[in-house]
Amino acid sequence: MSQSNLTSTMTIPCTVSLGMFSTERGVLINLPGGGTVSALVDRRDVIIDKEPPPGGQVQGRVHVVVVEAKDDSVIVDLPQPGLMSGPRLRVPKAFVR
Amino acid sequence: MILSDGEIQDAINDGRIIIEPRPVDEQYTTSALDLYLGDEILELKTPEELAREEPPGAERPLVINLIEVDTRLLFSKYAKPLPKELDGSFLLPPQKFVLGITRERVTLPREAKIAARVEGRSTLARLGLVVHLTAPTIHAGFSGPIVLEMYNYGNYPLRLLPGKLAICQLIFERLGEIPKGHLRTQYSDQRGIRS
Repeated sequence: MSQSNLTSTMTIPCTVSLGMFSTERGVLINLPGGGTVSALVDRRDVIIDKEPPPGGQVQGRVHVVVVEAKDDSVIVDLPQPGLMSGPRLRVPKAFVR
Repeated sequence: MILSDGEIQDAINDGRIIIEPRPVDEQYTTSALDLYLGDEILELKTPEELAREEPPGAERPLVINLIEVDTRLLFSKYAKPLPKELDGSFLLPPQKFVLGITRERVTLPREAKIAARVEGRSTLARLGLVVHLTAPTIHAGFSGPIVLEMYNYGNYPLRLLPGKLAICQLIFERLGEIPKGHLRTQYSDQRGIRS
């Protein structure tokens, strides 16, 4: 089993900030309808052009695993649980690439 | 079924479990793998410290609304690094809660059908050290260092030396089947998922 098989290549958009530990990054996902999901994920699970500054944020994408597709939405697993919800959330198909 | 030391080694050898850095023989027990304390420990700010960061004149009771907590602010607002001692160790006073992290990165590929539980070590527990409060499960698909919710229930300060102290153990278990969504190609031929 190679390393390249380990992480889904699919991602969804998010804003990225520094996490609590240096190995972490905070992500905020804005869902249609105004909802948000925030989570602390491993820094290897985000794709960003530059590191966020302390107290600031940058636009990026976070790796997800697509669990199921239904109609115009997909159910994805975040790399780590969101703070107050599980890792599994429904997002529009257009989010995922 | 819990994996034995030999099964853990086999899984590491063929990539079903990835531990970075790779464990040495001394980290194995019959049915678990010890992990070492990492180089960062965070402590929560006191209510007084938080109050000092409020705007001047603001007086309100400190209540954290768990539904509205913004994960991105957890560190900047509520936590700060626990300072190291001169020898590089951390001193954990009695009745103190901190967040630690393992030195090792743990990756459990979904395809491997393996999950894990983080547990404390009995010798440390006898001195009052708890290393996880409520979140022992390392789910299949996890990748990263493991965050430890640590509390010193004992009567004495505990010296914690990063990279030297085996702080916790991982117990590996097999899943009955591969979790959903393990194959990236599963939906790749469906329209609308990939842009």
